[in-house]
Amino acid sequence: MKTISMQKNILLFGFLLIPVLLLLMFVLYPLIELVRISFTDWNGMAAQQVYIGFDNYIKMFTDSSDVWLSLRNNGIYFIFHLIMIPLELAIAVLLDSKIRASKFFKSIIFMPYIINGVAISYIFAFFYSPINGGLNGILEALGLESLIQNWLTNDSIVNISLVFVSIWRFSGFHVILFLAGLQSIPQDQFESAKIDGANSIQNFWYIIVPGIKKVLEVILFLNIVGALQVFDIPYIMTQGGPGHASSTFTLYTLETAFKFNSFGMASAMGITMLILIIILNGVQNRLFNLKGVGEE
Amino acid sequence: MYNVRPRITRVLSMIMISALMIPLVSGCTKGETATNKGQSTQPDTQQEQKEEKKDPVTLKFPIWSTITEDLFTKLDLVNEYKKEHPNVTIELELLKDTEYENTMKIRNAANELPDILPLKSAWLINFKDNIVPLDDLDAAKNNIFAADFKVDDHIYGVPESQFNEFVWYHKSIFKEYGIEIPQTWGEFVAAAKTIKDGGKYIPIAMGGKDGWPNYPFNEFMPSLVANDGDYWSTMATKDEPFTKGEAFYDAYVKIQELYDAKVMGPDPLGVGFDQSKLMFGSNQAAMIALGQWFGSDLKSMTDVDMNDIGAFLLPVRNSVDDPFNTISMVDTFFSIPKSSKYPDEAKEFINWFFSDAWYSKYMTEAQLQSTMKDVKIDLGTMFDGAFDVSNLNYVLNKGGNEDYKKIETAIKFDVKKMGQDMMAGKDFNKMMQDMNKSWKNARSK
Repeated sequence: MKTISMQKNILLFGFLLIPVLLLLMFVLYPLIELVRISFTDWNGMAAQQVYIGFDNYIKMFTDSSDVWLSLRNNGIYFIFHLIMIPLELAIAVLLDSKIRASKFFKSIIFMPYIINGVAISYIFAFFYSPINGGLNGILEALGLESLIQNWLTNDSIVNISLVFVSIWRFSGFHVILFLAGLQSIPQDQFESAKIDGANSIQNFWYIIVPGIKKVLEVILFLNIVGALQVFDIPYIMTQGGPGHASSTFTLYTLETAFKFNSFGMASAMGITMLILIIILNGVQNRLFNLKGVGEE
Repeated sequence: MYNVRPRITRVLSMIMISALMIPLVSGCTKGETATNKGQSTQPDTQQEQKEEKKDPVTLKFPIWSTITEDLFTKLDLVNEYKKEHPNVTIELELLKDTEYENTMKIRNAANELPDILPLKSAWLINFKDNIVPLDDLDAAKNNIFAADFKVDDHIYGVPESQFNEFVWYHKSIFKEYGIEIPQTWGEFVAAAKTIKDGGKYIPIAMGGKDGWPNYPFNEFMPSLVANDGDYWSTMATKDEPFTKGEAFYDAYVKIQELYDAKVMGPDPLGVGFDQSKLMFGSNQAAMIALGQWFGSDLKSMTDVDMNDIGAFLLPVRNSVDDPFNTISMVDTFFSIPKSSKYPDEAKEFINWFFSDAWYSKYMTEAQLQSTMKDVKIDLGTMFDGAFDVSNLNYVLNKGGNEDYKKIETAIKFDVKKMGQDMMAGKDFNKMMQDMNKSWKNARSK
C-alpha cells in the first residue's frame, strides 16, 4: 500500500512539476523581468541598467501627448465594438431561428475571423487606396463622387476607416459565440414560456439575455482586451499615420521600444496596459452586474 | 492479476514523465547557450569537432537588401571567398530591411549577434558597446570615410559604399513640357508645378504612407541648408532650433511650400513606396526623389525604358550663385560583434571584401561609389551630366552624436512623421512651436 501511495505522489509530482516549471519559466519570469525593466532606463542594448523609480510611469502620462492620443484611438475601437454588440446579438438570434440557409449565413459571417489578419489589412489597404481603390471606385460607379475621401490619410476619418475593418473582422466571431450561448439555453424554457403566453420580447428579455450572460461577459472582456491591444490593422494599413493620428497604445509601445530604444519606458507601457485591462474589466463587470444563470 | 495494474501504471507513468522531461531538458540547454555568452557545453563540443576537421569556420553575415543578395549571388561571394580561404564558409542571411535593426537588437539581447554585422551610420553609437574597434584593420586605414564616423575616438565600422541623393526623372516628360534641369529650389518647385498644370502626369511620386520615402526632403534638407553634415549634433547644442532663421526651420518652410503645392498626386499619404515606384516606372509620375540605390531597383523593373530615365541632384539653394550643397551618404558599415567566436576570421574577411579584387568588381556591379582610397568605380551613363552643376559642394551625412540621440529618444523626434504631418496639412507654425518647447525641455534634463 505504501508503494502505491508513493507512486501516486511521484505521479502527481511528475505531472505537476513540468507545467509548473514551464509556467514559471515562460510566464512568471518574463513578467517579473518586465516589471523590473519598467523601473530602469535600459535602452535595449547597453550592459548597464540604471534604476530610476517611477520616472517612466510619470513621464508616460505627463510628458507625451501621443500616449493620450493613442489611448483615445483605442477608445474609438472600444466604443464602436461596444455599439456593435447588440447588433451582433440580434444577428445571432436571427440565425438561431429557422431561417432558410442559416448554415450558409453562419459560414459567411464567421469567414472574416478565420482569414489571416495581415491579409485582411492588405485587402482593405487596397480597398481604401486613393489610386484605383475599390471603395472610391464603387462610389464613383454609383455617382457619389462627392463622398470620395482620403480614407486612410484624413486625420478625422482614418480611425473610423480602421475600426470598420476591425468590426468586419471580429463581429462574425462574436455572433458565433452568441449563437453557441443561445443554443445552450434549454428548449423547455421556451416551451414553458409559450404555455405561459410570453411574447417574443419577453422571451428575449427573460430567457435569452440571462441565458447568455456568461457569453456576454466573455465578449465584453474580449472587447476590452482587443480594443486595447489592437495592432495588426493600424500597423499594416497606416503604420499609425499620418503622423500619430491612427497610432494605438500597442503601436506606440513598439515604436518606443524599437525605434527610440526606450525599453524601460516600453516595459512601463506594457505594465500599464495590463493594469488598464484589469481595471476596465472590473468596472465593466460591475457596471453590467454580470452574473450567469444559477450564480447568485 | 492483483499486481498487474500498479505495474502498468508505473511503466506508463515512467514513459510519460520521461517523454515530458525531454523537451524541458533540451529547452534548458538552449536557454543556457543564450544567456551564458556561448560558454555552455554545446558550442564547445561543436568547436572541438571543428578543430579536428582542420578548423572549418562559418561566418554569419546578415544583409538587409535584396539587391545586395542578388549581387552576392551573381558574383558568387561565398565561393569566391572559399577559393582563398577553403576552411571558411560565409553564411548569408537576408533580413527584411524594415526589420533588420530590430532583429539585431533582439539578437544582441540574446547574445546571438552574427560574426559580421553591417550597420547604418546612425546605429554605430547604439551598438558601440557590443562591437570591437577596428582601428588597426587595413580596410579601415585605407577607407576614406571610416575615420569620419569614429565613436569615442575609435573606428567601429568600415563603410562599404558612398552614394548621392538624386531626383530621378523621365527625360521625355521634361522635354514635353520644355523643362530644363532645375538649378535652384525655386526652379524645382516651378518645374513640378508646370507638370501639374499639364494635368497629364503626377509631378513627383511620393510613397508618403511608408513615412521613410520623404527622407530626401525631411531628413536631409536641414543639413543641406545648414551646409553641415553633422547638423543633428549641431541642433543638440541649441535650445530652440525650430525658430525662424535656423537651418531646420528654413529648410522646413521650403518643404512645406513643396507639399502645399500639391505636386505629389491626389493623396501622397495613401500611397506606399512600392506603389510610388510603380507610378514612376510606368510613366504616371514624372519625378521621384531617392538615392543612387534606386538605379538598381529601376533596372530590375520590367517595362522601364532606361534611356528615358535621367537623374539630377536635388537643388536646395536659393540662387545659382550660392554653393550647390548635395548630400553624400556613406552606408553599410561592416563591424564585428564582441560575441563573435571568430573575430580574426571576420577581420580577415573584411580585409578581403575591401581588397581590389573583389571590391571593385562588386561596386561596379552595384553602381555605387567607392569608399576606398585607391578604387575608382565607373558609374556608366545613367548619371551623365548629373554632377555638372556650378559650385558643387558635398555634405557628408552623419547620424548625430550621443547628445542628439538622447534628445531624439526623449521627445521621440521623428522627422519622417513630421513630414507626414506636413503632407496632411497640420498647422506648421504650431508644430514648430511645440517642437521648440519639447526640444528645450529635453535639453534641460
